[in-house]
Amino acid sequence: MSAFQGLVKKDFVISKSWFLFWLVFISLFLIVALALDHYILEPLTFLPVAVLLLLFFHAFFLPSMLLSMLRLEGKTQLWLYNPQSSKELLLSKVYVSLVYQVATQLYLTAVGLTIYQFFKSQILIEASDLVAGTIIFNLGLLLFGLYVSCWAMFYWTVYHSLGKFPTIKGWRWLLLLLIFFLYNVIFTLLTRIPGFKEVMNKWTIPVFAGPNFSHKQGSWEIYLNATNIPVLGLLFYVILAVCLFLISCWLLDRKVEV
Amino acid sequence: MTIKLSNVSKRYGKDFSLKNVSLTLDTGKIYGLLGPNGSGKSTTLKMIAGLVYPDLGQVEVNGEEVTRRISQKVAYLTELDMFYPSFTVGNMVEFYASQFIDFDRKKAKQLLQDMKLDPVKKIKQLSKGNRGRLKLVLALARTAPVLLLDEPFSGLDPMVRDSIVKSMLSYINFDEQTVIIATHEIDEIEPLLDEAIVIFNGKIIDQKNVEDLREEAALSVLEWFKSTMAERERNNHE
Repeated sequence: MSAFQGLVKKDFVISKSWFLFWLVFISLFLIVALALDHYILEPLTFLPVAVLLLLFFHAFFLPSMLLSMLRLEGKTQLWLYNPQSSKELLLSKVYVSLVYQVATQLYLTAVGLTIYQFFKSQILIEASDLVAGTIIFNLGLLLFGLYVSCWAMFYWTVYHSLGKFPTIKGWRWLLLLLIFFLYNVIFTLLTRIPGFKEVMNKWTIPVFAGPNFSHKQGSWEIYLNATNIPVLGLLFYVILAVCLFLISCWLLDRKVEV
Repeated sequence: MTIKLSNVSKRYGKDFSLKNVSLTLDTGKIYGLLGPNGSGKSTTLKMIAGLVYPDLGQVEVNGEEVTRRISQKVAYLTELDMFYPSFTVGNMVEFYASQFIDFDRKKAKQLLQDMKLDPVKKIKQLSKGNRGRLKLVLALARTAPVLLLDEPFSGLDPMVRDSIVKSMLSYINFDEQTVIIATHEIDEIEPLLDEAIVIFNGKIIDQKNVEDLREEAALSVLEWFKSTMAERERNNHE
């Protein structure tokens, strides 16, 4: 077993109970929605909404799992007492959280497709739109989850790095808010630079990702609208996420004391 | 493998945990780091293990500035619990074996037998004594050139302490490992020590070769420690 495999195995063991809890929770949520549909004799009222709601929650599932693991590691010195690079320590957690997220997204997608199979006649959507929409929506959720996770790692490492300065130890969360505020101010100022938006939106990829839902007489009508994704904008977020990850690694190796 | 602390200071709040400490520790010796609670023993060991960083000064192991990754060369036993509660004893041993290339599985298996630890038992079900034994298994199964033991007898009954001292005698490589034991329990470790260092209020106040102490001053380490502390108290009052 390689060192990274050892880390991954350990991260699965320490987090599997949270994942099982989440699986039970979403299953119960779906059962309640199904029971309500059954009660009001409207089979497509609560259940599809429950599936979509749960899928949207998944935008924050990956960072939440990651932060839960980091919180557990912050309680002892065991995690940092390790010769592996901080990239490996953090990537193992990202990998495990990503596996959980893929598994639950697949589960919810399967539930959604099963609903579609049962009530095809009441859900008006082109088959190609259904496939494209499902893939793009799931991929988008995963990418968004990864992006937010990089911010979560960054904030966690900054928070713990500041712990060794007793004068600001009690006010660390304020500094995190300040970083969040400064980032947003800088980003807003950037977008106000003449021509910035034009450059960012110069190259775009059309993606059918903007769903329109309408509920008419017990049936759902779903259309996918083309949305233009700016390539440079996407690249900006990828670079930002990588930078946040690398800063987190540096802080973990040199500054974090738990 | 030489360990060197040069003018090291570390503060927690207004208090100094270490104040301008300089210390050199040589290969193949067992050092006892002795001092009352809050004297800076644990901070010194954590610094050598790369778990806390000095505010001022430098810590080096074999000429390399200490960072978190020095754990490759430094085996560390902390007085706190360093386990994942959902792990079994076997999981913990396997995890250490996957992370530290110097971890000797055969030695770990033998140590588990000697310490009467069941590999399938969950860590959260272990008594304090058995958790102490497991920490020692994980530290002694490594062949790292530096071994740091922070209060290895903390909260353990005399039977467990005795078995721990016996394990140390059997499993420490006295020629190649530099061992630092931070403890209050001086009596237990006295037979193991080559050098004794007294730390008080974040400062190294004395260091003696244990053999010289016995032969020249006819003092045990405990007697010498008590007299050193008493002298320090007197100086503080004057």
